[in-house]
Amino acid sequence: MTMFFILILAPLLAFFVCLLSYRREVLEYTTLAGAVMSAGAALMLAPSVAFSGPLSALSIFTIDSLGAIGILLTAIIGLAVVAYSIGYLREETKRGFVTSHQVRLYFVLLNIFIAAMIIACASAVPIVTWLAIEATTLATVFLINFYNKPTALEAAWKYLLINSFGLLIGFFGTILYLATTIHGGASLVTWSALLAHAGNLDPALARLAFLFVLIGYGTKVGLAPMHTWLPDAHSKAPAPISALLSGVLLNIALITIVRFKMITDIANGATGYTQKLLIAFGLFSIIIAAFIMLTQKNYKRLLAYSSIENMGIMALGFGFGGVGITAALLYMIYHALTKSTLFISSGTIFLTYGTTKIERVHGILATLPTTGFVFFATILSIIGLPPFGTFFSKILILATGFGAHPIVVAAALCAFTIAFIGFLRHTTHMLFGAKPDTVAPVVMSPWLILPPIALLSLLAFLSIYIPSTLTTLLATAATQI
Amino acid sequence: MTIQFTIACALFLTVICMHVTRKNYTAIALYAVQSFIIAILLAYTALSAGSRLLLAVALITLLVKTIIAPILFGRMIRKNKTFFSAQAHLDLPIVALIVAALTLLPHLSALAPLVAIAPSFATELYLTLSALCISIFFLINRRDVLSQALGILSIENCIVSYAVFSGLEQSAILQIGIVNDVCIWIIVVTMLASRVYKKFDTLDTNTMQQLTD
Repeated sequence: MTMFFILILAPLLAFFVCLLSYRREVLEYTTLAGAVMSAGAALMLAPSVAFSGPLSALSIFTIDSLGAIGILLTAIIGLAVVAYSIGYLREETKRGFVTSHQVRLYFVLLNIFIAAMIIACASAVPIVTWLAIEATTLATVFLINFYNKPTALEAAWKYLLINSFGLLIGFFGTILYLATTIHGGASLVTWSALLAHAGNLDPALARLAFLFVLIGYGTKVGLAPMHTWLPDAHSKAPAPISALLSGVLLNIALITIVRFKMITDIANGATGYTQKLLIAFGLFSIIIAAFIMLTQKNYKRLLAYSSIENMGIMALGFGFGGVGITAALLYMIYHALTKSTLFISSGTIFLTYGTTKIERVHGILATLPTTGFVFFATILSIIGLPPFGTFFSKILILATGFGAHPIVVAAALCAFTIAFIGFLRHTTHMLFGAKPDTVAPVVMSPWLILPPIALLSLLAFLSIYIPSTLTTLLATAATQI
Repeated sequence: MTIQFTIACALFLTVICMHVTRKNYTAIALYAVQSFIIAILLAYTALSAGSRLLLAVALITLLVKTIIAPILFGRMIRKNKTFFSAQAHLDLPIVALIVAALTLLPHLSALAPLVAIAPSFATELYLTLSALCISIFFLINRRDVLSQALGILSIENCIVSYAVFSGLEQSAILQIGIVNDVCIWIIVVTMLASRVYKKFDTLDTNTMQQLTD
C-alpha cells in the first residue's frame, strides 16, 4: 500500500514543491527525486500485480495487469525524460532560448503531466480515467507552446481544441456505458463493475458507445482521421515532452479504448464489431502516415507520423485478437521505448544543428557519435528490423491477421514498405556524410547522453529477454482482453 | 409542460441563437444563460433526490459557468477589443439548412438506443441530442478562437443535460471534479486565446495556417 501511494504522490509532491520554488536546482532535483521514487515504486508494485492480482487503494484506484504495463512505461520513460530535461533545458538556457520563468513552468507542468498519466493508468473509475487524461491535455498545452512562437501557438491551439472535443465525445461514450449499472446512482462506477454488468447493456447502445469512445479517445491516440493535431503538437513541443507524448500518452489513451472494448465485446457478443472498427481505423492510420512520411521534410514530424503508423499497428493487433493482442501489448512496450529514445535523441540533434529540417541535417554519426549511434539503432527498431522486439511483435501481429484478414495484412505490408522506404531515405541523409562546417561542437553533458543510452539498453534487453513479471503481466492482460 | 421539457427547449434555443449572433458579448451571454439553465436542471434534480451534495454541484456549476466564465471571457474581449467575432465558414441561410438537418438527426433509427435509455424523457433527450449536434456544428463553422471555445463548452453543457435526462449522471464528487476540470479548461483557454491575439493580432484561426506537411 505504501508503494501505491509513493507511486501517485511522488510526482504530485514534486509538483507542489516546484510550484513554491524558484531555484533551478530545487526544480530539477525535486522533479528527478519524484521520478526516481515513482519508477522505484512501479518496479516494486509490478511483481505484486503480476503474481498476486490487482492492487486496490481507496475506492478509486486499482492497478491491474493492463494498468501495471501503462504505469511501468510512464514511470520508466518519465524518469529518463526528467533526467534528459535537466540537460536539455540547461543547454537551452545557456543559448538564451529559455528563461528561468519558462524552466519553472516546464518542471511544474511536467510533474503534473506524469502524475496525471499514472492516475489514468491506476484509476478504477472510468470517469476518473477520463478526468486524468483530460488533465494531461491541460498540463501539456503550455508545454507545446513552450517556445511561444506563432507555430507553437498554432500547434497548442489545435491540440487543445481537437483533443478537448475528442475527449468530450469520449466522455459521452463513457456515460453511455454507465447504463449497464446505474440509473441516477450516487456510487462510483468502476471498470470491474462495468465488466461485471456488461451483459445488461443493450447491444445497440454498446455499439454506439464504443463508436463514441473510439472516436473520442482515438483522437488522443492519434488514429487517422482524428490525427491532425499530433504532428503539429509533437513537432513543436520540446523534445523531451514529445518523447512523453509519443512514447507514453498515446498508449494510455489506447489502453482506455481497450478497456471499453472488453465491456463492449461482452455486451455485444461475438459479432466482431469492435475488432472491425479497430482494424479499419488502424489500417487507415498506417496508410495515411506511410504516404506522408515518404515526403516529410521535418524530422520531428517524421517521428510524429511514425507514431500514428505505430498506433495503427497496435490497433490492428487488438483488432485481430488472439495472439495479436499479446503481440500488440508487446509492440506497445517496444514502441514506447523506441519512440521516446528517438525523440530525446532528436532533441540533441536539434541542440547541435539548430534546425528540424531534414535537408539541413547530415553527418550525425560524425558530429555526434554517441547520439548518432543511439539514433541509428532506434531507427532500425522503429522500421522493424531484427534483432529488435518491434520486428518480432509486428510479424506476430501480421501473422495473426493473415488467416482471417489477408487483404488487410497485404495492404498493411504495402504501407509498411512505403514507410520503410520513406524512413530510410530521410534518416540515411541525416546520419551519414561528413561533419558539416557550420555546426559548432556541443559539449555533451551526461544528462543528455545517459538517458537515451539507458532507454536503448532497456529496449535491447527486452528484445532478447522478457522478465517473468512482464511475461505474466502480458499474459494476464491479454487473457482479460 | 414539465420543467424538464422547458429546460430542454431553452437549451436548444440558446444553441440556435449562438449560431445567429456575430457579437462576442452576446455569444458569452447566451452561454451564461445556457449554463444557468443547466444549473437549474441540476438543482431541480438535487432537490428531487434530497441531496445536499448534488445541490452543491449545482451551485458550483452556477459559479463556474455563469459567473467565472463570462467574467474571464468578457475581460479578454475588453482587453483585446474584439467585440465582434470573426466570420463563420458558412453563410446564415446554409447554416439554417444544416441546423434543420441536425435537428432531425437524432431521429435516425441508428441513434434510437440513445433515446431508449429513458423513454419517459424521450422528447427532452431528442432536443438535447439535437442541441449537441448543433453545438458541434457551431464549433466547426466558427473561425474565431472565442466562438470555438464556446462551442466546446456548449457541447459539454449538452452532454451534462443528456446525462441528467437519461439518469446517467455521476456521483456528486465526480461531478464536482468535472466542473473543476471545466473551470481549469476555461482559464487555460482564456490564457491561450490572449496569447493568440498578441501573436497574430486577431482571434481568427484562419491566420493560423503555418503548420503544413
